[in-house]
Amino acid sequence: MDTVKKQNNWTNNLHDIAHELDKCARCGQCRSVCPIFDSLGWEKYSARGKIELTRAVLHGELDLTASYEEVINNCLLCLACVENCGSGVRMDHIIVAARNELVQKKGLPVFKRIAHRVLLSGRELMDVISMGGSVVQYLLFKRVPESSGLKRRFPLPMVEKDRYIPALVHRPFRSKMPEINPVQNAGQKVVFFTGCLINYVYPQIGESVVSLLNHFNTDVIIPRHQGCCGAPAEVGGDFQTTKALARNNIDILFSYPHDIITACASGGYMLKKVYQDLFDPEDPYYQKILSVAGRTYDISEYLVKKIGMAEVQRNLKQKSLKRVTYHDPCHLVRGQGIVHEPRKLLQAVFGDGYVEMSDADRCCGSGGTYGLTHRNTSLNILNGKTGYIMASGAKMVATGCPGCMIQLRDGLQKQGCGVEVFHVAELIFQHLI
Amino acid sequence: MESRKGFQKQRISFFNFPGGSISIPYKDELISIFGSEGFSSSREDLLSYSYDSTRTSYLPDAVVVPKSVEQISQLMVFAGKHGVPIIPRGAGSGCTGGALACSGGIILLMDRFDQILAIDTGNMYAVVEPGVITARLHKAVEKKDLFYPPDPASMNFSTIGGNIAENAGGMRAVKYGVTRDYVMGLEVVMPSGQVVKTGSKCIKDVVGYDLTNLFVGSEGTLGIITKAILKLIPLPEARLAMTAAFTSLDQAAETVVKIIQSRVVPSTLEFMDEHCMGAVDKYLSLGLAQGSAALLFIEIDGFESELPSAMDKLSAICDDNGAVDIRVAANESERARLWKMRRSLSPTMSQFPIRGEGEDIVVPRTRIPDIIGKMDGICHKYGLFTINFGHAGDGNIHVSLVEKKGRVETKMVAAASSEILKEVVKMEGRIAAEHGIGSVKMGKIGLNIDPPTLDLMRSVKRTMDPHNILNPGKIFSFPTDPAE
Repeated sequence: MDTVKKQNNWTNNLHDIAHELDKCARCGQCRSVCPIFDSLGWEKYSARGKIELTRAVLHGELDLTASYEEVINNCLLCLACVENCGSGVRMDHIIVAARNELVQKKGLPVFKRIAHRVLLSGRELMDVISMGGSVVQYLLFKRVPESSGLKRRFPLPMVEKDRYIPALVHRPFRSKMPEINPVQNAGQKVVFFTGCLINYVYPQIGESVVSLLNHFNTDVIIPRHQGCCGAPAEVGGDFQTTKALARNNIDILFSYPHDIITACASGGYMLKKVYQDLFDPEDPYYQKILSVAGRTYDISEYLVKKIGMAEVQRNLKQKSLKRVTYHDPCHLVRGQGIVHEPRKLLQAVFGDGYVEMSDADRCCGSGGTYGLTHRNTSLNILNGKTGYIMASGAKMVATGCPGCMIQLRDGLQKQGCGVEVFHVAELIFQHLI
Repeated sequence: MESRKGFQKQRISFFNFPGGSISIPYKDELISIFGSEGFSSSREDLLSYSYDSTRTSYLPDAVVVPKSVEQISQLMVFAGKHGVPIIPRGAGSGCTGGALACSGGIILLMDRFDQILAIDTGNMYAVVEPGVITARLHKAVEKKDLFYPPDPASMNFSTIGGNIAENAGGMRAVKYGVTRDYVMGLEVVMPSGQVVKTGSKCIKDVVGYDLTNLFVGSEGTLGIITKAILKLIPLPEARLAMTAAFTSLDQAAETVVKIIQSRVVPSTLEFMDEHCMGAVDKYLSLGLAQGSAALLFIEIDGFESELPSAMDKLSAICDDNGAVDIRVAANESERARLWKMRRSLSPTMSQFPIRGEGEDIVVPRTRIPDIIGKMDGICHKYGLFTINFGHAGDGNIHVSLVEKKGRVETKMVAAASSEILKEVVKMEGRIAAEHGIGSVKMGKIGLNIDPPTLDLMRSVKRTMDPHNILNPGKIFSFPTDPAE
């Protein structure tokens, strides 16, 4: 099979995904790992069930019913079934192709159409919306001092009383920071691909990343015109928007010869794995994408592999005695195969204070926009996760994805357990000498 | 019959209404029993309960989800009144169509009936509901240093109820036996709606007929299992695993016989041929010995102090019999990798263009080299080759037929399969070891079961399920099957 020319895996047509559907041996393994199936109990929500329904659509046995659409949209794309499938079925490709089919036949929902248009419009409009939002949000929400988040002031649709809402920042990270952040005696230069959540919601992660890298004699370039990685459009099956966003980012990132750093699990996953699936090998962008993918590193991966554990360790304060655990973001652990790096870093800082929670690599239920569109199931899955976190006895949970951080903060605040949530980069930065 | 690429799909609506939807009065009656959240007849749900791990699928008429034994009793009364087939279903991971609505009817979903009700460490038994996932029971009892040995390859997703109904085996059968050996008692809802209780929590029990064993392996045709008392044993202190690669299948098969004769009984003694090795290697990149023709996967368990010498003895036997590559798992993670390899074998078979449903044959274990030789000869004649893996230690082999080159007619594939099964019977083997007969192998049951015995089975079925409402069209044909 390896000799077969690489095909463009992202298809505009269910027929092109038929070979993937036919791989399914219908054994049922996916039932044991799917958080959605676990939460809802009906077979149609398992990967095996979704494959059967997609196959039925393909063969004209099922129309594009509202119920089918609901099933296909009810997937976190957490990749757990992909990782555990003995037949190697790429369920993520199937879901995205099925969603694309729905987009083509039925169109995007209005709010998504508007949202994707905004993503495409580039930085200026998003900055304006964010600045406006950062002012207006206080009319609807009040600050929660201990978390830098918000809670509603009065009843609002889709926002329950104790829901944690991250506050938009008044000045986005990339506007606030210089484009080039140099250090004296710099050994190397890197490019920082920030992603939207670091830019608009959690700039402190970005600041930690820059300071960390500077500390290790690395210049950090933050290209101004980098944009959204396209993940929200991609998971929605909107290939046009995704590809347009991809081209913009690739043009910018390819123009630098340096390594590229991400601190957002999904952003890294898009650069490393998804972009190359979007374009044909003949497409002029394809080789550029491979070049960019080959030198993209998650911050924890960069610290361990490029800076080196010995060097990191030399720069750490005395071991902290706090108990900390780690939550694997889907797009880091399964998307990028990053398992050990963040744990090594946390163990370097916290020693025996680092505890492993059970099912650390189980999805937290955030799934990008999934938490917005499927609130109840998302909360149900989140409850499982916060249960594991609390059972670990940790006082802090670290992770590598701003999306997971929003979700975990929401869940842990609801539990009132006082467990704090950090990005791995923030914790490492705080413990530098 | 709707047919689709690679899969047969059949639609025999029991209710036979236009559009295939269940009629309102029936629907209302079912909703009054199960509530609207416990009933579905949506096209999406019917499709997603139309299949199992075989290549056939049948659309049911409705799906119901019971919350209580009482509801199941009421369903039985409903089914008896209208003569509707009821098909109990666990995870739908079966390999012979046991959970398929071959004659239409109502799928009775038991997978949410999933409580572990008790684990008694003093008397070493567990009481469970049928929807408990087998691996979940393993974890729960192993926390208490107890052991439930049956471990079908599907244990991470198959249910105890399904395991009992199919009398599932697994990798540890060579030392510990099969599901049957661990079922002490059952609670069963009969087609009449009555609830019967068989067996007990006592090791010795000769009170009345052994009805428990009648239900084990009955494939959902005699009653609905709602509770099971399962025997537990002490958890072995330690385990050691190894692999041995051979340059011929014969050598591997001979080694299995030698190991058993050496009186070291491994807890697991599995083998796979070169095709299987290639297929799992592609999935897991284990670097299985290149160029070898067969692999044995052996695990021993017991007291930690005893294991190294037993392992040495096994290694020596493998060595004497021409093993080219012997590896002992150095730690728990290496051992886990070997197990993942073995457990993923069955699904990785989808990489091959397999013809027909796989065979699940078993012969007295010293005959394994003979049956493999015979299968080779038969397949060669038909332009096919076999892909074999299985539980060599207990004589059970899973066989898939694949074309050498060029299309072999379906009729010819069936003929090859029949010849193989006849050889199995000649060697005093059985045509089905642990996957059941279901709908897929129904036509072959006569190879093993003679007419008087089959008649007795039919009269048992007739006595327990006079209206033939429970899983009709499975195991053997029956004059009043709705499909006939």
